[in-house]
Amino acid sequence: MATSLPNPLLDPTEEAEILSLYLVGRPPTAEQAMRYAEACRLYFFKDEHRSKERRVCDFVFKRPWALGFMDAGSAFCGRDSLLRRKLIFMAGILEADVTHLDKFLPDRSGSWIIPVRVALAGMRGALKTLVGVPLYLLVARS
Amino acid sequence: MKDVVVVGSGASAVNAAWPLVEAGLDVLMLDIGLKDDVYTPLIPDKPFEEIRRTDPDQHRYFLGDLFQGVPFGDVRVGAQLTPGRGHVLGGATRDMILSDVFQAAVSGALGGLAAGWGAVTPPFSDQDMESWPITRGDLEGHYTRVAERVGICGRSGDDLEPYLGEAGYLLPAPRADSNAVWLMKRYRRRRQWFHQNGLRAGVPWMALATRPFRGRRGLKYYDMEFWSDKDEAVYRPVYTVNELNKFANFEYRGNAEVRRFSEEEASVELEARDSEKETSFNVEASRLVLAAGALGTALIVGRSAASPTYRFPVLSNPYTYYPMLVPSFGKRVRDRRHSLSQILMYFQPDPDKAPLQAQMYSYRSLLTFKLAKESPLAMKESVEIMQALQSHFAIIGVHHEDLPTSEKYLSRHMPDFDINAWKIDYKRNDREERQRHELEKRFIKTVRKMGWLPIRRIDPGDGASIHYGGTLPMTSSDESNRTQPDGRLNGSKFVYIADGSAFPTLPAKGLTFTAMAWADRVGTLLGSQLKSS
Repeated sequence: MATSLPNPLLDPTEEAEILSLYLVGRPPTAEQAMRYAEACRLYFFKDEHRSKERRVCDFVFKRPWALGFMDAGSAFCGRDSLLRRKLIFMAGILEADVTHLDKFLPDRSGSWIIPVRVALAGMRGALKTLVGVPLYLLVARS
Repeated sequence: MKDVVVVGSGASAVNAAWPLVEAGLDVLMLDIGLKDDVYTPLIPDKPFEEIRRTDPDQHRYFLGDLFQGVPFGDVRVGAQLTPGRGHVLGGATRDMILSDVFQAAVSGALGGLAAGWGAVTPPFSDQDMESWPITRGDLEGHYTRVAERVGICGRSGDDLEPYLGEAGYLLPAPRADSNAVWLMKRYRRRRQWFHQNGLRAGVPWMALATRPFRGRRGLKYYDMEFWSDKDEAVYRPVYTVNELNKFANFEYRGNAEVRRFSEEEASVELEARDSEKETSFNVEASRLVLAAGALGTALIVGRSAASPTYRFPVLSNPYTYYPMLVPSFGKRVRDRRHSLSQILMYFQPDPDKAPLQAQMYSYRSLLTFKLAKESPLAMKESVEIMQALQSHFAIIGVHHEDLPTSEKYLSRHMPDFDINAWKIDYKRNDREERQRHELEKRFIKTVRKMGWLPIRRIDPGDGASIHYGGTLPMTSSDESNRTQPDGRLNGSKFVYIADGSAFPTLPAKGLTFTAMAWADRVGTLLGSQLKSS
């Protein structure tokens, strides 16, 4: 008898919207959301049924405010996790398009402001890691 | 019956075929000949940034229709290959090469591994060829002929002269990018100190047409070299195949995987497989020239002539990457640039020991999210940081020499069965490993003085350099499965080895220029031998 698999967490286009809003502050275009859905179909379908991966994604997509912390947590202790892979895919999809160039095209100004920008982003990232690591471990193990 | 069959269409194969065709011999080139018809036609002939700003279809060739351009896990062999170059690795043979410790790539592409190479072409010196039965002098004229065929650019007489020598054939060096200019300025300021500590830096010699060359348009500084060859500036062997196709005495046959050969009284019989029709066919020739790459050639010899338990030696330059930050803030970054190596360095603190070779690449056209993926911070902050720093980001690729030992070999996986599975065992001994690490550590300490800041060390594993050689090493003795200094395979009458398989050692240098010169030598000697008979 065939075993039925649980439904995916969210509609992939809803996931795409949450991830895009988080990464670039804007919703994805319909094409970008479609590309993300296609990536989910090709690469993530199986993993979504692993309990740990499912718990983490479930938590994040039901509480988008936690995405920043869970992103930081997965970068530190879940580098091959489903959430991290979804974020990498979405970043790639958003970058390989003409719509969010301001967020991805390399800064060529050579300005002395760059090290300051980097330091600020680095500090923000480090703070998120401090909160994100225990939160990620807690959710993944609960 | 053909005069000569050449197997493969890579850098060695086309340069072996050229003198044979020029000698008027009837030459057939057998090759799998995979090429990319999906992504290459989509890529506009425009600068990287203009494409990024204007092309709504860029996701197709930047990411791939199956998202194969989105990397996961650790850095792997061929990590720099983009979707349009994915066909370069693999597809060459039905045989399996198994290994837990060595990443083996056998190319079935039209143009072989050089269809995706970085084009750095340092010639070997006498010191590099110390244990070889031929000298640099034996290859000198062949380097020149190859350079006139493929186009080598560089600068004679700079600080790299002790390693590269001088040459009259060089095309003008390409324009350096802002990172390279900044670093070289700091290098020149302390040149004496760097020389005393064993570091020399200069302009890389590359198979790159910096001006129009043999029908190629020449470098346009579009920064698209990782993605496409629209300006035909980087040399690809397919250009020579196209030139050869204009000769009436040359024939190219694709979809042909050569499986084995057998020698008759006065000829050699080849069995090949048509990879499209899934049928076998035979070809008879006076001579056979194998140039399917060090691993591909060894597999053909292994299936044909070697004992099932024979162990082919394997060499591969150990390779390490160092992502670096070039803190050249305060000056606007130049937009028009190329993506190839900007600086070539040799580090040899002890003149009695082998040097290492390092190439510096500026990172820009491979997209920001791939860099962000390597960061230990959240993706959002990583993208922001990498966007800010990308113009100041560089990768140094470090190559070390490789010498043969009894612990590096290719053999049949199950010699008692007729199964086309092979395995590679590859283990560097403690002395090699220690020397590699010590030399690299000293190198990184020294290059810090040029101003760049190493971020981390990435070891992609053995075989990842895709510089393979030494499977049928050159010798003056008559030991079997070795190659004579004229290219003939010991124990055979009509079979010649024209690729890096014949190199007894792999110095810490890119081997392709020397593989091409060696192939030209084999083709030239064989051509005159056949003409005189």
